[in-house]
Amino acid sequence: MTSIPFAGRRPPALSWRLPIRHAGVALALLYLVLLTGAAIVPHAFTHADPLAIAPRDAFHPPGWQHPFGTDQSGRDILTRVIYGARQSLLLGGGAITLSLSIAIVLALVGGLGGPMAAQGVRWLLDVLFAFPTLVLALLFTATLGTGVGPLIVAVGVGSAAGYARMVFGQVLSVRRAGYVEAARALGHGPLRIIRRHILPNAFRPLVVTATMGVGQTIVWSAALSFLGLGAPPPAAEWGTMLSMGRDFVAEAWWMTLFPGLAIVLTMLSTTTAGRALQRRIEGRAA
Amino acid sequence: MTGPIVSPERPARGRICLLARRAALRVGGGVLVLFAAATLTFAALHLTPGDPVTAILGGPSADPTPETIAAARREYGLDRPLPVQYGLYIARLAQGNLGQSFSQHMPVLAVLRTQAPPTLELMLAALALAWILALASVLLTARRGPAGAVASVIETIGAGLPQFWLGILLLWALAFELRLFPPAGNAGPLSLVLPALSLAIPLGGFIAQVTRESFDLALDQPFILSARARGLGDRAVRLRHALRHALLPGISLSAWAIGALVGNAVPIETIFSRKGLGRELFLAVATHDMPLVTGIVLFIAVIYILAGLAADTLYVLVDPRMKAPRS
Amino acid sequence: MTVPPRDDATLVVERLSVAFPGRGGDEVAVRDISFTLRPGRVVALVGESGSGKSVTARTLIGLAGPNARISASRLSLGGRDLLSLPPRAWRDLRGRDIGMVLQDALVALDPLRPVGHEIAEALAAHGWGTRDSRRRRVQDLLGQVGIPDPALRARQRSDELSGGLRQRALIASAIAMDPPLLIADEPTTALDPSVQAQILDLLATLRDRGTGLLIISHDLGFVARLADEIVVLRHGGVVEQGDTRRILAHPDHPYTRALLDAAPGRQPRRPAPPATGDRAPPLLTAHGLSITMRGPDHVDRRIVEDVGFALHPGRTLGLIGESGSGKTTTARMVMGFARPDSGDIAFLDAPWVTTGRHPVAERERRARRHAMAMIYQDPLGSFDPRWTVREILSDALTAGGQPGTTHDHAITALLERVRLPAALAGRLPRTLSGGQRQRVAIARAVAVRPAVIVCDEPVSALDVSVQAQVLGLLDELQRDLGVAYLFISHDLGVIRQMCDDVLVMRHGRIVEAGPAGEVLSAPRHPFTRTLVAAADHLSALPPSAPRIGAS
Repeated sequence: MTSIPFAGRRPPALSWRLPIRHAGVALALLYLVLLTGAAIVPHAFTHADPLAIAPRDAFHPPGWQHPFGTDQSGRDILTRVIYGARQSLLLGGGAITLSLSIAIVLALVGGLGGPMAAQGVRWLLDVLFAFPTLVLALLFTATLGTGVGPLIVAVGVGSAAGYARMVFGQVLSVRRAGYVEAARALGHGPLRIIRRHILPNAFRPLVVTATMGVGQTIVWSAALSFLGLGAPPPAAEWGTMLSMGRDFVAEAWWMTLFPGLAIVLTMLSTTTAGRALQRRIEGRAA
Repeated sequence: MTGPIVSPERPARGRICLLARRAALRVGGGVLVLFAAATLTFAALHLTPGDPVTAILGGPSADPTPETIAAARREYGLDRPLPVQYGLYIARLAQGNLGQSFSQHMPVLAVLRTQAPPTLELMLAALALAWILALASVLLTARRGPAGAVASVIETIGAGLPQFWLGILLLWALAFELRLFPPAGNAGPLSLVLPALSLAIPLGGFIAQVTRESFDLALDQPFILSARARGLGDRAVRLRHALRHALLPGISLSAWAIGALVGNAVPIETIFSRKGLGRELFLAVATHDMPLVTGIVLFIAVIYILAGLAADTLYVLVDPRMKAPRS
Repeated sequence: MTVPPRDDATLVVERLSVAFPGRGGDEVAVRDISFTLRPGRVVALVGESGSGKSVTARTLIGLAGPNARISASRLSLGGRDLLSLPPRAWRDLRGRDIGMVLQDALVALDPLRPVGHEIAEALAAHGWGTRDSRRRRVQDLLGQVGIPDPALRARQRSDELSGGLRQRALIASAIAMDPPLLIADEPTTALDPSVQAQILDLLATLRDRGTGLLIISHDLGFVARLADEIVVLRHGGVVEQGDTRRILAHPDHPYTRALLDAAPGRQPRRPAPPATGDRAPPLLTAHGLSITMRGPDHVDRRIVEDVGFALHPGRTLGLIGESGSGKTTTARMVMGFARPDSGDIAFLDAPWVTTGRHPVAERERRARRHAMAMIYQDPLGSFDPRWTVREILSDALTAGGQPGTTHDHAITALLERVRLPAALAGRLPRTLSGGQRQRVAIARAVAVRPAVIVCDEPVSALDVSVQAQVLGLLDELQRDLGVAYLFISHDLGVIRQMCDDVLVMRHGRIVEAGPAGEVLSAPRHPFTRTLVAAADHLSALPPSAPRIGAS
């Protein structure tokens, strides 16, 4: 008997905690559904034009007609936030896909290519880590110019190191797992072991990472847009809108608050959804 | 299988040896990182469509004559083949010569000397604030019923706030509306509060999340039960036993975060019109000022390496067991 | 120092029940336990995992947790009612009136702090003395529990001490305030037998000095050495309770009898093997195996040195030794997972592991791997977490060369063979009990029809009654299938029951080898003698005479 009876048992999940968590997950999923809807058919959510200017309506505070207020040219902020969803999801989804692809390649090379390859990947990651995400992304936009494509590449490459380290660690830990040795003991060949054990177990948590990562990369790309490296000003892009709002923050706080809120809610929703997914995968259904 | 018992006669010397070896490895690795960083920067900027000469001669609007361009090319060695340029570049860097900034027309070192202190100040203030927020949140609320759950939600939200958005909102609320802090500039500690807060709140959320998790794990350990069985109170158990076990992930995270803080300082320094490396880097990238970009990137890499060294030292201080170096 | 009068420190527990709120209403962890603990006396709570023994211990020092619902018709210490004790008073009571020792001092003492600080903390928590007087008292205590050179040891952390020393230090921290009562929760589990014997003696000394002991253990034989009274628990309820001698001699309840019978030392010794086994050529021979491995501190250590043996068909070769003696590493070399620096292994008349210029490649071993299977101490870790029992067994059948169409049938047969219901095939291993998991692991091992199964501590993580069942199953499989076992264990009782031959390992070397009956009844090497003496010392149960034939 080696099991250690610790501090008794962990207190069971208290009755009030579970419904709150379920409600949180439900809200997060609802928001993500709405966001995806807005990205696909923005005109179904609003009849206004995100770019049409109406100088007489400039700087309307939030009210009945303009729930999120208007900007300096009288454009409706709510409409612009809705139209911004497509761009954001595209950037976030594209960047995380690129980022995880790089991470997977590095992890596979390092995790399965023998000790030399592992050391090489470790060094490469160490080098990449010396470049903070935003700095690396800046360097890339300098090389590639501005726009959606360069932004995806910049953010994707910029945040790859963190994910690579995570996936690499996972591949290494799965390689050392007891069931991999057990499969070797049965006489299975390395390819079968990689295909049937290492890949599925190392990459299963990636669903969670990808879900959470979409929110994180949306924040990074908004930061770059905010610095003026995304679409130029009138565009209905959350980061660009924030950068416009900054100039008028003393007069029109709503120009900053609402696009930022959209970003934050996206980030929180993907985090919440990702954690729910993680609990499900790990089987801690409680 | 348990290893043999460490010989009790010289635990201190063994630890110092280990520290020294780890430091040597770190420094060696650091040189490699610097070399790679320099190479990467060189590659990134030479693949750039923009011509550095345009930058040297005052940007796209200057419209210089072909003769001037040719002269500038010669002067900066841009007419040589790329491998030669690269070799010269690395050789110069190895001598500690960072060169001249194209756009500012002054030595890169001089730019660093004026721009680095405000950024370092901001970074350290943000890091300290983040730890204060995180520790307060975790120590006061972990395992204390609803308070813990609420604090945990707040930490998640905090960690998800984009620094630049937070910065603008703080600027609006505390500087313009309440007029508690100056909205811009580098003058005095008061001007540091808002930018530091904008960086510290999200980082504090992150640190609190990992610390809370390890703190929770620590509270479940048998030695906590032993300590309670000895008659220790809740506060003593938290401060003297659980906290120390919970610090390590936060320390690792901080080593990484110090680099990230410089990156995040780019928008923050812009918002609060602060002098600093972040803003300078942004401008340098925008003007293709290669020596300056290289200088700042290398400086950040040095900071990152030093932060790793500091974290390693802290690691061994917090956890004196012989641990394999952080991966 | 003021010592409370000892006769005033009697702990009275009457009809104590503890429940925790669960999903479907309250979950009762302990039901109607009653006993009285007096200074100088020893009461033992005995039961397997989930019997409620640890919850009882924690309840007695007020640490059952904020959710625990505690009820009792009486719970008092020296006349003081404990049920209505405010938290602050509980804190004063802990350590001063009742001390507590947990199992495995490596984690039960704060691994980041010197043990001296931990002991001094117990004093400081009760406002005892000054910094200087506490330091002297710490050294005094370390001396009392038999730790040599206390001034040095006080400055070391638990991971810098040997298993025995650190358990002693833990006990020193629990008796720092000289409490009249001491609760010891599995005080020797996970320790090597010789260390267990030392701790047993230390506890006996404390009792003789007038401390009342409440010992909690899964091992009836161990507690019987000390206890005046035994309380046998199962699923939170008292099964049987009474005087130790009476329970050992005439257990009333069938569960108590089962526990007594299941104790490995009580199992009949293995009957002498048929003489033909000696003449058959060995399946597996190892010569001069040595291996050096690099520890986490980057220091190379010789883990195994010059180990050799032969394993004959249908026989069991036991590998016994304390933790760190190189048993598991030897098994890994036999499996071809760790490459020795020197030596070689032949398996089924062909080289299996060789050293030198042309070592046998993994590729060459692969085709023959199905002839050698392995059972691990932690079966759960050896199953892919995504796979059901059916997938695990099907994978093994594939490895054994069985065509996929026959798998359904074969899986049913395998499960039947290891006495698991066929309905379990669709379950994930982590939803099974420890005993069921080990049965699945055994089913996987025999699925490939091996000639040899390497068993690495296959029952040491299981409850005693489950251990007996699993060992019985292994024995049965050997008789039916004629497999040979390389059987690793630190438990002499298990080895005695299972093995025909034994190798005794110490510090990576074989110190004694021979037929199990001879080695274990008349050990020649001093180390084997201490091992055997410790095992005998640890159990008050008389080893039963060998019965004719197997049960």
